[in-house]
Amino acid sequence: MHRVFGAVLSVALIGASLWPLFPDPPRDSFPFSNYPMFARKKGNPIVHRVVAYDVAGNRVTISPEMIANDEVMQASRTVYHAIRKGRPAAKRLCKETATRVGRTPEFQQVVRLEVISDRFDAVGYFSGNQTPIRSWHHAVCEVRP
Amino acid sequence: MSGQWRRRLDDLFFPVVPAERLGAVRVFVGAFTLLFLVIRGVNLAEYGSFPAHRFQPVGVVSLLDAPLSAGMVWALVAATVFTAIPFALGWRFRVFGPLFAALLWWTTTYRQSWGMVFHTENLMVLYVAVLSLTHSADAYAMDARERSAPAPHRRYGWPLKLMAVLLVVSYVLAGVAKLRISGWEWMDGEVIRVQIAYDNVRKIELGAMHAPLGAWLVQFGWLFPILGTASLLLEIGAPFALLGRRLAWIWSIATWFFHLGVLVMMDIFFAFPLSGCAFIPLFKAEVALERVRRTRWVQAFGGR
Repeated sequence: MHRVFGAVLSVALIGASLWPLFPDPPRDSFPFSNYPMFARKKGNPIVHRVVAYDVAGNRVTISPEMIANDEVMQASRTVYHAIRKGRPAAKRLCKETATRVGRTPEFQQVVRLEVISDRFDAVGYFSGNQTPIRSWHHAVCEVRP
Repeated sequence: MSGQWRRRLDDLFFPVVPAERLGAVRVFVGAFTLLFLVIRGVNLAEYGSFPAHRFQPVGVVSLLDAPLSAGMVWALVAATVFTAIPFALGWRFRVFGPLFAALLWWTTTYRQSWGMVFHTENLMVLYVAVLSLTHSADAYAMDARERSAPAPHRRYGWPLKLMAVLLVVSYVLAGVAKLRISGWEWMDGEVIRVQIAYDNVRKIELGAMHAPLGAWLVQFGWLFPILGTASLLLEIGAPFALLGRRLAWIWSIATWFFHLGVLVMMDIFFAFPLSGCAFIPLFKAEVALERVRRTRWVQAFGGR
């Protein structure tokens, strides 16, 4: 009996693990993944983010929890998806973030948020070229306490 | 099929092993998972307060049309944490084993359903699923305290084989993805060099912790063909780990260093392989567990 059960469970789990290989293009899922991380040749990185400014126009760093949760990559991905959906979605994200920032005493100096994308020279960045090659502005919103 | 061939196939796929080996794997994986849940529990529960329009379900969570309420997410995460304890202890395992596996599968998949699929928990979830459905609580378990030690049996062997194959398949798939997407060019090192630079630039600009060593090494172009070739060979060559314990040791140690490299060069922490738990089905886990039990620290807490 244990042989039959073992064979069925093994075929099911190994088959499901191999399954992500077959769709074209392959589809990532969980826990059965095609493990695409690090596979693609990246160009210069585009950093999608929400930047905050105080009344004097100085940049203020806000924590990723203001956008999503404590995971920076989750926050960045959230910004990316909003930008990809178009300006209304970027504006919505900006306002949602502004509401959270406005309620957080730590960021009381923040008066304005911008949803932006910056492209950097990946390798050149570490030789001192840290200015974005190009920037895109997707949404701006005010922060009200 | 002749009896001899049948026995050979049986020994290959259903080897006779002691109950302690499978039980020890459950203890290691259970302890790791419990620690993971204690550390990440709040993070897992926070997904309950994400706005519904960001919901992009994957896997089993695709059954939902809309996200669960925050209260339900907190309740499921709490249930996952609490059922991890009887799983690790092997207590009332027939109930708590499968229940914990289902809850862990759900809560970790729910985490992936918000636009970002992480790749750090896949094997942990699959190992727990296998352990929960097998006789992994016949040894080193509260359920087994009143029973005499069971004799070695094939039912303890095939779950270990299955976990070992799942481990190997995950690495082969990662290698195949690189070859499909970037081709053999991946080995020339430029892809991994730019990837390391890309990842560190993104983290610095987002204000996250980055990997200073990786950022510094990006300038040495000659290093990356070596790293690229070694990484790809480790992934594609993973099935060699199934051919014997010596090869399993070589591959596991090399792969452990590969993950250490990913940590120090990209600040990406693959905790399950770095803890050693991912590789444990390839080895005599009961020997490792006995060594842990003999340590002064465990003895001080009443370990026998």
